[in-house]
Amino acid sequence: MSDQEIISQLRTGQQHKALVKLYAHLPKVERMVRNHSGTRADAKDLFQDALIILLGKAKDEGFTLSCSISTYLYAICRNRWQEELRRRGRFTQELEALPEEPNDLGAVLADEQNISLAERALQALGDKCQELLKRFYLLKEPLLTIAKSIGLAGEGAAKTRKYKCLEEARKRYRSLLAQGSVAQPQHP
Amino acid sequence: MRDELNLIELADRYLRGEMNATDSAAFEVRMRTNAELRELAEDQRALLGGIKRLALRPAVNKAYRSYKFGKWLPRIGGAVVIAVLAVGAWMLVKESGHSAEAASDASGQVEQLLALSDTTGTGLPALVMMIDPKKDTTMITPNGLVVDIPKGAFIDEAGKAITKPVRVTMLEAIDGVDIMKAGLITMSGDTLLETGGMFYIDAQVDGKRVSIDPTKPLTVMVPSEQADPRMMLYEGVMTEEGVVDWRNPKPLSHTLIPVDITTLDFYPPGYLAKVAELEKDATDKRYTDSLYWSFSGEYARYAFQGEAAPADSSWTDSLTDKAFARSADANSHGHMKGAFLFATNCSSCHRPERDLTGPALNGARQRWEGRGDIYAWIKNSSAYLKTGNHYANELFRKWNKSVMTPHDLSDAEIDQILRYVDMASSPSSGLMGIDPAKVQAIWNERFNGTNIATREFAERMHAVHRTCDNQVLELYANNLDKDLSQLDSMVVHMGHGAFASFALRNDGRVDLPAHAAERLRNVYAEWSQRYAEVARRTQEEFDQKEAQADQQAFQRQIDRQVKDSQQDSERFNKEFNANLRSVYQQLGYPMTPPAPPRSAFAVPITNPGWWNVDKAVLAATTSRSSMSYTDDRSGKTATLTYTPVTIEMADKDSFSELRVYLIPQELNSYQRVMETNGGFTEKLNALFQYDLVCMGWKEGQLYAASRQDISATGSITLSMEPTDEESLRRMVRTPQMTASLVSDLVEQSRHLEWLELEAKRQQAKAKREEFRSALMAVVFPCWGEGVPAAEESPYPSH
Repeated sequence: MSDQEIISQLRTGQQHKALVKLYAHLPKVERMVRNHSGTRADAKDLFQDALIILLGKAKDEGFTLSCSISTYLYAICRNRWQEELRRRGRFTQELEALPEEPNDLGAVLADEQNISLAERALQALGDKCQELLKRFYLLKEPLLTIAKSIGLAGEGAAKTRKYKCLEEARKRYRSLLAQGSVAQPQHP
Repeated sequence: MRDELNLIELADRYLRGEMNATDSAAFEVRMRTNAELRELAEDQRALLGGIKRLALRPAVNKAYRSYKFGKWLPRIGGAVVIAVLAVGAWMLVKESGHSAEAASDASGQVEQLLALSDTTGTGLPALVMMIDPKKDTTMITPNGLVVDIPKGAFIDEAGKAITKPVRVTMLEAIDGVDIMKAGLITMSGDTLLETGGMFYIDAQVDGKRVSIDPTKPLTVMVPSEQADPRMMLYEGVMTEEGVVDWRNPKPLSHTLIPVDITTLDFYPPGYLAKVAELEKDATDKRYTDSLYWSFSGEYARYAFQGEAAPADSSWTDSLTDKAFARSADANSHGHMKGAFLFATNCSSCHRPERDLTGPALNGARQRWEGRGDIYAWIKNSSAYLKTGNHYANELFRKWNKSVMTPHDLSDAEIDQILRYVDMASSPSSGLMGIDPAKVQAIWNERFNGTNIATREFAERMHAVHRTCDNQVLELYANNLDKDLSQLDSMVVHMGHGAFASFALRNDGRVDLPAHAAERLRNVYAEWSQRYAEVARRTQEEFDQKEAQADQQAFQRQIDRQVKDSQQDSERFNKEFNANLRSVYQQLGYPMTPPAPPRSAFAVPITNPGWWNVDKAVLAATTSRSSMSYTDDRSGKTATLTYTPVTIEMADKDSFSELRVYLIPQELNSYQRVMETNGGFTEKLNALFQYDLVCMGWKEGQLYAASRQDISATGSITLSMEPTDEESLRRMVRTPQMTASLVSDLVEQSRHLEWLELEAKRQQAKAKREEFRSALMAVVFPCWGEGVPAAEESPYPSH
């Protein structure tokens, strides 16, 4: 399966097969992380985040790969691990630089930290909240439909619930940001 | 609040691109000027990204599991896979032998499960196959489950094997997502289970469910990332709430594959190599076997008794205590030294715990307490008997007046032995090695097809030898229906940490029908006892024979010595009297010979003067040297003359026994010429006429040479000729000799013959002991452990 085939599979409904295939790149990341004070679990989290980024990107019609998928995933993991090491105060460890880096890496990484914090904030919400937000923002289902399927009185109730969920998520996100201020990327 | 809600609404719309260009531009302007709004928008953006993430994550996680699973897949097909006894897995095909009611219950549950999986819409991938039940069938599912269906596995209600094609349906939910989808909660009672996957098998003929012959179970191999030892097989039971509860956990294990037991090696490590090193044929299994088994006799001889565990299972409870007690005993250094001394000095006639040629030795010290000196008794019993000790004489009479051979042992060593024998007969027994009889009991065809007949067990057998603990072997042999790994853990608890590495391998067992394990347990118990008994009896008979031979030899030697010394003192007295008579004659004294002294050293010489002559004669006779005595009163001089003679013979060293006798004709007696510095030299008394006879034994043949009337000077060279007793008799007989003297001399030749045989016996014994002791350390790895080499012995030597 070529990289391009993988991307198009990620785009369509057959992403499972493609993702399984992509895990073949995990061991390399594991080696890198474990050689630099990390655990296998760290590597797995890192790699899965990278997969999600790639998956998100692939859904974007305009996305084109500037390098191989392997490099793309590895570069994301490497840079984020470097960041993690800095955050842990291990400045001495400088990870080996890559000969080529994906051209959108900067942008990806800039968002990465905040988005992963946001995900953590959202994971802390109840199942209903998550379901509601997913349906509303991703599946773009009308509020009325959502209200029915998750057992809310009507559109108004759904809207209020959505607001409350979002507010809660934002509150948690803010506090996570404050905790991890070292790692907070500077936005212009 | 209202305001903020509006702002969020705006930000939402902005970020989702729902605003038109004008509104969007206006919002951007507001953001630039309003930090709060900008922050809100940023947060909103991050949260939106987070939501996307959240939605994508399950797919990534699911892929991870498949990836891990896929990684494992290529390993299937090797011999070691997790095998599950199919009967009882998630409501499999109903078990045969159940009542009709129970069967219909089970099928009801199966139906519900089927319905359950159907309503999920996506459903579990159902694999449907028509199989021919007359053949072995193996199927592999998309998720890698391997199902092995032996021929004739399916039976109808009458218990007859089904011949029509069987419709086999399989559902599998290996992946967590599939499990959730199928609505299968992994709960067992109130406990949440980590699952390694679930599967369902159904078999039908013409729409009717069929049973599985319990003697031909299906085997399902479930792929798993790693063999987690905690993983168990649960049975799914549908509860009233429509939830599957997982019950009756059974451990999973690697099945063992039995091989031909005679191809395995259960010998102690290094045994065959040692046999080869001792230049015996190590490739002849019949020889190496019988040699090894014979050491069971040695085991019975030296090992502590009372060690054999009772056959019932309750003994395992006290295992740890026993193991501790034993290791504490065995650690004592003196104990091993005692065992060693006992084995080398006492074991031919004694056992610690029971009577043999001599009495059981345990408690001997206590019995002697206040009754006599046990040290003196052990060192030299004959001497101690003469002291008139009452208890010693009582023992002597009680044990058929058999003499205990003297022992060259120090008091400290005797202490070691006595401590050993007291401890040896106590039930918490000591370590030496594995009783070969116990190994013999399991190492035969009878145990083919059991755990014992596996390479896995053979590996353990080597380690079992190293533990020197028979209870470890018992544990494996008595629990053929248990997983090896389970037994490994028990062995670890018995204090043998080395078995932890076996326990971790999670080796299972060879499945046996329930009654077979029981039957084999009995076989083992009975056989190991029988073999041990035979070996013990053989060893004891052998020991007793040896002991008897030793004792007879000892007795015979003593008898001979007593006779010889009597004869010699008689001869001395005769010679002394003859000398005295001659001297009295020369001095002109009347012949009034004093009463013959009782022995050379007990001549009463208390009265100097008159007895001066006698004294001089006695000295000359004793030292066999010439004498010249001048009497003070008469002025006469008397002389006695001794002249040396040397006897030579060809091939002197080729004889195993050699005796030279001088026969002074005037005395009707004989005198043995001792060999000194490699030659036979003696001084001849000029008063007598000597004949010479020489006899020797070589390879069971008597040789002899004689010379009549040997001259009193120089040397004589004899040439030995093969002869027999009759010729010898004719050879030595002279007119002056009495018949009994001739018989005495001839009897000496018989003693020589016996001496040669005895030497051969001792030689063979030594050789045998050398050979066996070379093997002892290999056959019994703990034998001699802690027995110090002589030079570093901390014990006083003598």
